[in-house]
Amino acid sequence: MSQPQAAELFRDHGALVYRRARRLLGNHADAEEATQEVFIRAIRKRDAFDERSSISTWLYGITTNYCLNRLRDSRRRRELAEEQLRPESLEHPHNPSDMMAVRQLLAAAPDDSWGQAAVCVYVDGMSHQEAAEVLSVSKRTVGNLLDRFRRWAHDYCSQAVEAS
Amino acid sequence: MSDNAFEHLPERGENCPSELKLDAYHARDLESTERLAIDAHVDGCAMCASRIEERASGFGAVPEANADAMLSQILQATAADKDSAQMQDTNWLDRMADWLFPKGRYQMVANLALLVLVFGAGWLFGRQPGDAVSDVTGTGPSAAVSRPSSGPQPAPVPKPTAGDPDVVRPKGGLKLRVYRHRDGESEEAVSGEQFAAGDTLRFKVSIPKDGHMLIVGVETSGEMYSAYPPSERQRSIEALSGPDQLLAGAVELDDSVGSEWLHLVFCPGSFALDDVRTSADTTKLSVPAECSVSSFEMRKAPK
Repeated sequence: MSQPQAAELFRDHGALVYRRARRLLGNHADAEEATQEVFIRAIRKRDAFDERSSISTWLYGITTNYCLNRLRDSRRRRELAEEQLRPESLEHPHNPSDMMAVRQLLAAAPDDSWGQAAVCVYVDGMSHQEAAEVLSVSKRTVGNLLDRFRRWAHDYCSQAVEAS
Repeated sequence: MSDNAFEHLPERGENCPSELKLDAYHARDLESTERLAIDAHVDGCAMCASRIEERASGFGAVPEANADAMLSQILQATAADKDSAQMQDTNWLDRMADWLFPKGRYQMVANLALLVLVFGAGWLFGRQPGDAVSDVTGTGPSAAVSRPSSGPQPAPVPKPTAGDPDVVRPKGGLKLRVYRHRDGESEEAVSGEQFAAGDTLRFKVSIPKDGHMLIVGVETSGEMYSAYPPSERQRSIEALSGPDQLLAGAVELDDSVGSEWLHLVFCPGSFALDDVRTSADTTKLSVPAECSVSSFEMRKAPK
């Protein structure tokens, strides 16, 4: 990909990636770093884009995976663990403190594919079909992944409550 | 826009389009019918009109974000790639030549035979190694049973092809993914799901760096076997780094029931099944130093 093409890709989709990264990571500095990394990876792997999905769907997938990896790295997990997890916040996760609880769960989820499905459906409000396209799996698999995530999250929150 | 506006999860009505859908709408990636449907929805939904407006503002809605600086960093990083690309190509060719034409005559014959087996297996299953997840149909003949004594021979795991789905794995992201073919349908299975006798499995592995791999099966009794490569050799095979590499051949489950585990073991050097030990509850493996494991549980039920 030429430099003008790379610049055009960023101009067209940079804000989309930034907005999504900021929602998942929770602060400007991490979101800016994530945006740069996502575009560097996308430009390097441009040949892997097979045009069965749209560019925005493709970038969504890369951004989701990058942000989940960031949430799961050890330093970030420690920071998130210092926050109080309130299970009731999962019922209505529409404010920053509740989003923190969601981030804690995403960081601690034992299987990254559960987190990917949870981000698509619970955070982004995608239908199972949309999530299936982003994750390149079947709709039924999305349902299975969410089921596993929900069951694990329930146990995780119960243990957090007992511990506190 | 407040500083933490992006941190809010999107509140929207049941019929409001998802973030992905609106992003695609804004990027003009949608087909005309979908686009018209969103136009009609946005006309009557102030919340979604605001979401569209936010997208139209781009980085203008985020004064603290320095889009020019971000773009500059991106272009610098990708320009540096091009400078080293030619050198990497040469190294790749050298490595391929070393592999194809090693010093020993027998090793060369063996390597060429492996190439034939890898691509032959891809032909048998109607696809090449590295095909996308959604293309896995598993309609080909299964090559082995759950404790196979024959089937696909050990082969170096091929590098992913350009056709692979773009999945960025965690740093050091060893990952075993299992695909199940049953009653004419194939799909990715989730760890902990129920399986039945006759289910045919195929594996995808994400390998963090070049090394050696073995998929170790652990039966309910605690007995271990080599699930991949399915051979009597019971020894690891060479694995090259890369995400979501489809392994050649399939495994058909026998009729035993109970919880069984599949553990993808990755080590920097070659190792044998005997180097691995299972815990009393069969859920964990003890592996040599510097090795790592990605595990998958199968709950085998009567058909």
